[in-house]
Amino acid sequence: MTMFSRRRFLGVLAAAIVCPHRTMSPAPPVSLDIPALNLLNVPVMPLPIVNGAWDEARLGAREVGLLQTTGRWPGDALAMVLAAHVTLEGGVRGPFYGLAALRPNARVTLQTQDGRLWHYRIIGRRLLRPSDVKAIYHRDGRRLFLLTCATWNQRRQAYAHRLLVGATMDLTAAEL
Amino acid sequence: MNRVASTFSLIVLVVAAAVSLLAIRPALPAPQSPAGFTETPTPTATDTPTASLAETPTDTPTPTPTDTPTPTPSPTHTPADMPIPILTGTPAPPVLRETSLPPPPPTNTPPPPLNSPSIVKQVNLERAQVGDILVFTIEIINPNPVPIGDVVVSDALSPLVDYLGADVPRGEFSFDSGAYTWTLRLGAMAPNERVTLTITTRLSERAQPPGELLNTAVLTSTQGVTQSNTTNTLVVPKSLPETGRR
Repeated sequence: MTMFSRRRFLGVLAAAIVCPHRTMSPAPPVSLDIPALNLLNVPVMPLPIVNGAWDEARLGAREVGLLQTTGRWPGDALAMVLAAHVTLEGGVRGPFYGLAALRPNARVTLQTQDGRLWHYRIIGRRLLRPSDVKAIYHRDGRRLFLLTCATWNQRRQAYAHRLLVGATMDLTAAEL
Repeated sequence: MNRVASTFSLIVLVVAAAVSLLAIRPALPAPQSPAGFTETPTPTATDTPTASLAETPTDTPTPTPTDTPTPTPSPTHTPADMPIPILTGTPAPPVLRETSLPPPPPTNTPPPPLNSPSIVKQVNLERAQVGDILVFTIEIINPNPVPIGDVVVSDALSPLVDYLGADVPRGEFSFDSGAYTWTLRLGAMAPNERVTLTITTRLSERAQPPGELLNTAVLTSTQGVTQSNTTNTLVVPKSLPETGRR
C-alpha cells in the first residue's frame, strides 16, 4: 500500500468513525462547482422525462439537469447523472464545454438543498452511443456522472456520441 | 464282671454306630425334588420361555405378570433374559429393564403440517426500452416431503408488453388473449419437485418512459393461494439527451 492510498484509507476510516453523523440524506442537489472548468455555483435542476424523452429544452447556457429516473440525491440507490450542454446554437459554449479535458482526481462539489456540501473526484470517462441509455444507471449512490454530447458529425450536423464522466464521493479526513 | 463288661462294650458299639450314621448322612445324595429340578439340564439361551415356566420351582421368585414373557415374547423380552433370574433366584429389577426399552410407536400422532408451495418470479431487465425482449422466469417448488395437488399458476401480463411465447416443462399451458393472462395447470407436484417456466414478451410502443412494469404471479393448490414476489422493470427513454447544438 502506497503512502497516498494509506492516507486515503485512513481518511475514509476516520470519516466513518469520527463523523458518523455524516449520513446520506434525501436532499436533492441544487448547485455544482467544478473549479477546473471555472464552473462555480452552477444551478442544478431536475430534468424530467416528457413525451418519452428527457426534456433537454429546459437546459440553457447556465443550467445543469439531474436526469429523472437516475439517483435523486447523494447516497441514493442509484448514481446521480447530471447533464448539460457542451455547445449551444451560435457556437455558445455550454456548462460542460470543457468536460472532455477534465483530468482524473479533479474536484467536483455538490451542494444539496439542506446546505450540505458533497465532494467528488473524477475517476474516468467513456463514450456512449445515444441509445446506450442503460449504461448511465449505476447501482452506487456514492457515484456521480456528468453527461454531455461529444464527437461532432459535420455531415449529419449532430453529435454522434455522448461523453460520460464518472466521479466518486470523496470522504478524506481533510474534508471533514 | 465279664457280663457287665460285654454289656458296656455293646452299648459303646451301638452309640458309635449311631454317631457314625449321623456323620455320614449329610454326604448322602439329597432326595430328588418333586419337580426334578436338579435333574433338569441348565437352560441355555435357546430354551423357550415355555419350558422355563414349566420347570420353575414353586419356591423360586416368580416375576410379576407384566414382566413375565408371554408365549410369544417381543424381541426385547428375549428368552435368553428370562432363565437367568429363574435359576439364580435373583431376577434383575424389572423396572430397570422396562426403562431401557424404546417407547412404543405412536399410534395417533397427527402428520406434520404441509408448507405452502413457493413461487419466485424474476425478469431479465430492470430497465428496458421500447422493443426490448423481457423474459420472465417463474420457479415453483413443493417444499414438502409429500405430494401436493391441484397446482395452478397464473399471471396477468402488463398491457405494455406483447406476449411472444412460453417455455413450459410440463402441465397444461394456455394463454387467454382477452384477459391477457397465461395459466399453467400442473396438477400434482411430487415431493420437493421444482418446476421452472419462462414467459417471453416484448416491450411495446404502448410503454412510455418513465413507466414501470409491475408483475406478480399467483399460485393456487390444495395448500391455498400463494403470491410471487413482484418484478419491477423501469421503462427508460430510447436515447440519451441531446445536449449539443450549433
